[in-house]
Amino acid sequence: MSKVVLTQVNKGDPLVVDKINASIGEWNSRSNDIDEQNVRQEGVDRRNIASEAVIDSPSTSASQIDSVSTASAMPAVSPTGGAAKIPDSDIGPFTYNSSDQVALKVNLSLHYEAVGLFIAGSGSGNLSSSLTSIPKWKVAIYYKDSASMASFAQIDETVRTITFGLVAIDKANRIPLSGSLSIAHNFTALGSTSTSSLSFNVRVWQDTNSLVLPITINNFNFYAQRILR
Amino acid sequence: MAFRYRQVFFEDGDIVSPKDWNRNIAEYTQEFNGYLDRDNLPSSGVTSAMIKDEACNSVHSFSSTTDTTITGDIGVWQSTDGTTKFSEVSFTLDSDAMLILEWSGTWEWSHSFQLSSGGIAYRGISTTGASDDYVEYRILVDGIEVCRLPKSTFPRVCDSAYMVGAIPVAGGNHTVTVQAKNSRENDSSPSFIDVTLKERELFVWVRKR
Amino acid sequence: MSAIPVTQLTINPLRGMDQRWRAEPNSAEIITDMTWNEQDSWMDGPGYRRIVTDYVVRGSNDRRGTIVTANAFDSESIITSLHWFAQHNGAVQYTVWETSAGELKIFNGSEAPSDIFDYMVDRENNAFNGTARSRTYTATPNIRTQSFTYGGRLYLLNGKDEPVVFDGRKADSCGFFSPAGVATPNMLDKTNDSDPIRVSDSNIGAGPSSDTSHDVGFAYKITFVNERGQESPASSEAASVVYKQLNLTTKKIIPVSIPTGPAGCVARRIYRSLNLYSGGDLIVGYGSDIRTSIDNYYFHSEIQDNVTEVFTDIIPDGLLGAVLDGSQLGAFPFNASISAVFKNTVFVGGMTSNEIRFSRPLNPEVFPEDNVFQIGDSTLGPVTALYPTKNALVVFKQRGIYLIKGDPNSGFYAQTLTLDAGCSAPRTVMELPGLGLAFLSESGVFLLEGAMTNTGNPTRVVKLSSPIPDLVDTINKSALLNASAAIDRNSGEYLLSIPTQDKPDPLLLFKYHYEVGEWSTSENWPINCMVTSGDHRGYVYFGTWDSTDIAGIHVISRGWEDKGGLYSINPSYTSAYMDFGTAFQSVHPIRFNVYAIGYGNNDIECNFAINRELDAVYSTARSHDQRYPLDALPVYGTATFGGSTKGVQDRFSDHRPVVVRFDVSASHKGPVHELQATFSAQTRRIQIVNYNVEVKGGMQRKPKPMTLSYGGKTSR
Repeated sequence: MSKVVLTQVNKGDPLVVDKINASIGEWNSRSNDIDEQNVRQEGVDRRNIASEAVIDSPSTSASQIDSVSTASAMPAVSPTGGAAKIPDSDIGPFTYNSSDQVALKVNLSLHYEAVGLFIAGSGSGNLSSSLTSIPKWKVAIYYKDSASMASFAQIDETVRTITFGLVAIDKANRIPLSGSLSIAHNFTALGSTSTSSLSFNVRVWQDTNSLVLPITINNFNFYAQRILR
Repeated sequence: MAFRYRQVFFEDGDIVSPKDWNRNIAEYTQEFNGYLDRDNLPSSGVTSAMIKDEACNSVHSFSSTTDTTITGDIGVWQSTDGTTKFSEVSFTLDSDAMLILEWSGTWEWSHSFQLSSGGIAYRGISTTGASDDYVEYRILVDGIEVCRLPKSTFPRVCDSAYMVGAIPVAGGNHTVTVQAKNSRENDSSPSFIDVTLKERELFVWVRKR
Repeated sequence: MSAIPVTQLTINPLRGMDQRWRAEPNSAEIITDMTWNEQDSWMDGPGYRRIVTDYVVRGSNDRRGTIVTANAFDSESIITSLHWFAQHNGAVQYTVWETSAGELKIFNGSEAPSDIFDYMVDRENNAFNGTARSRTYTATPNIRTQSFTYGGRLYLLNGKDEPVVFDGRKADSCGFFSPAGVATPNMLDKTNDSDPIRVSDSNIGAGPSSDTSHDVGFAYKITFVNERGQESPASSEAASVVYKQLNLTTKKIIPVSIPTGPAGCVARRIYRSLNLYSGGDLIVGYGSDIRTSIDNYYFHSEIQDNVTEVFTDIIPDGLLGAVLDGSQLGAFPFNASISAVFKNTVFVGGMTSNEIRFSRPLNPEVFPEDNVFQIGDSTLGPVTALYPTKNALVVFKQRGIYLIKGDPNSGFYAQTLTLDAGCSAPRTVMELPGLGLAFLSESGVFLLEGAMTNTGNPTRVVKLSSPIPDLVDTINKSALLNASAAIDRNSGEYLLSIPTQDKPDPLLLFKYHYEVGEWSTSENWPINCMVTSGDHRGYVYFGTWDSTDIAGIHVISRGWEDKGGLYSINPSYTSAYMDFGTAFQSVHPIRFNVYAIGYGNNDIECNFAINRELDAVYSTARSHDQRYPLDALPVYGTATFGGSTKGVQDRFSDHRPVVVRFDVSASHKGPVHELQATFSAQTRRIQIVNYNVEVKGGMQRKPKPMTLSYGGKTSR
């Protein structure tokens, strides 16, 4: 209890310091112990709250790059093997402590572009007539706790798949692909483990047969934000 | 400003009356015992350690990697395939709050791959009418639509999308649901195609203060 | 020899100042630095101190033992106005003050005592610091900045600067001062093939689609909307567009250029006319057409930003909304300097005309042009004050009091209450609990009594300052606008700060103790503006005009030793003259017995004057301890904790009435026809319940021969 309980001095009491000291002692101890019982409802205002006491600033976590082109071949293999990291997409280290935070929110948004697909003719985007499935590419967020993990691991819930749209009959009629992709993720992969060396990055790969199709990623924004209280 | 000031003046030569002492100390104690406000507290004095957990924010999320089907021939808003919910969270609030809702997911149309030797190639079953099949998603809070994605049409065989919305709510029980609708613009003969909803996540950020 | 009888006159209860020639004996000629309390006594009055304490600053030499203190208000300019309001049910409080340096400041106690304010900022983050933004300061007597609260915001207006509304974070301009700009519809062509923008869905698009050979036309008006939902007057002009539809199934789409609003505008509302043509003919309001006017504009849409410059009109006539009533829109009155809120409606006055303008209900920043009262004639002076009461808005002129009654639903109307009295100082109008509305006029302080409606309790004007004509005569009538007032509910006082004599700045405080209906006074109060906090503490704060010696905001309390550390508190009660008769009747005072509260060893002083002479009887007042002589009560400064007196352990004692006796004599002055007593504190504390005076009264009119006295006979 943090409320001060005064010892009332009454007329006729002996003129001794006991009751006065008791009240002063109450003040001395309670004034170090202020809690919600001392503050009126809605009494705490913005200016009383320390910076980043409620939500960590994302500015130290954001990674923003203008344009990255995966012009060279994206790995046409499963993600565990060789998903290509989007350059400069590493963010961290973050502190993660499930008992001292509300959530760790990870946000990704990016824009992608690719040349259109076509059947007849040569050049990038050409589909072989023996193709048995439409080419897709995937993106996902990866994480790593440097204290306990040797390599980055995929956050399965953040896998997103994009495929090309219409396939033109020839190169002259192909339609470029472009679009945007965003993800908001509540990171819980570490469970109750606490760490102060948590990192993230973003990886892409092509999930189809041996056809290699480059994409360009730009307007990329990736950050994580601790919601503390 | 919740500053308090002494109310009684006494000086040397005055009788030692407890009323004077009691009155003055009570003036400050009354404010301390439950009426302090922002003027009594220092700037930036309240740190994380002093704030109760979830006093300002709470988060509720749903994520899944389990495939679920958005049936094509139903044509109305669905929130489940009968067994698996697309995305839903329920929670109870003890005070009014602002909900910030974010959902992202990825899906794929059930199709058979086909390349044509002439014209534009489709990957569908038929070239007639199927081009205007679409899937769309929306977020509802207690049955009220908050945001909706634009329609994503069949030629985009695989796609991903993200939507965000915000709505103030009162304290109490709340349910946030993601619904999907698989339909077509023109009612024509080709069979309906299902959509498989794959990885998805619903993030509900409750901003209390 | 017959003895002259001694008569004891008890003066009880003691009352306040009454400066009439023949006043009641229990009244006073002058009471200074005292306050009446509910135990029916007069006690020492309050002092004042700055609201924040001094803080320690080290000297530049940092010599050991040298402590230099400073106060956050040391360099404060003259405080010209002071305002208090709260949000969140009183949890967040704002004390706002304005200075002669053109600043607007908001109290911030989190950094006290060294840094105690933030500058008010506008939405562009320009601070009212006298440089980036500044408020006008006038040194001569003027109304100064008035304020009212509405919707949790503080509105500040002074008739010179733009009115400002403060929401706790930023200051905005009030409403809009001019109509919105003109919308320009244009039948633009697409860049490709020079075709107009068109739509072939017959359910959308303006105008009839089948009318390809006849003209179709529309006109537009715009209003601006600010973040508080207040709407500007509509465009003064309405540009129109006339065209023919493309074909039977395709309508043209009208792109409309719209103006962007001033800072603070967050949305634009579009209003459009119906098709101006019927069968190719311009509608003029007669004939077979059922519409009576083409001047009606209907709600089209709201553009929820202040950025969009062009929108496309695809709404058919049938989907337009309610008609625009331009008479319900209006600009915030310029030059308004006084204001009040009554029945959800804002009333403003003090403009160059005699008008009172009032807002649309629930729209504090929208003033329709027809919402106006002409109050009185110009010959009776300007409108000087507004005050809302339960049943009426009281409008004061310099000579005249009017009531505005009614409500927004049934309408407002004005009544004349009296043309005899008026108010000359808007900041002195205060409601006295249970009594009525007090205000300062050129001829004194008045009270507007009654319920101001037909309830059987008559509404009338009563002169409150009748008992203090001498004080009222000292009022500087040219500087009445510098007077201000506040209600101190803790003490039950109406505090009136008034400029007197030749000084335009107030230094004298008139105090009306409304619980007992009595006056007292106090000196050395350099008050420029006052406010009472509206929370549980009920403190009275004031800002000073003395920026040299005692700058800043002060709080009034009986707990202070003096006034601002500069002036002492000298409680004194000087009775009215007790009249004992004609020149042929006289008394001889022999004793004053004062029933005072026994504060201890600090003396109470007594002096008296007779026959209205210039000087008191004693050159130095008599003084006695405020206790019984045999009381052995412990006192501060000598008693110690655990100590004893005469072998008895000291105990906490209590204040109680004691009789302090003063034996006096005025026989060296001759017969006493009138007697006046003065009681004062030698140091600070005094509380007088009543007193009695013992006099030897009566003259022997029948002289006795000395022979009789010595046993002689009257006759041989």
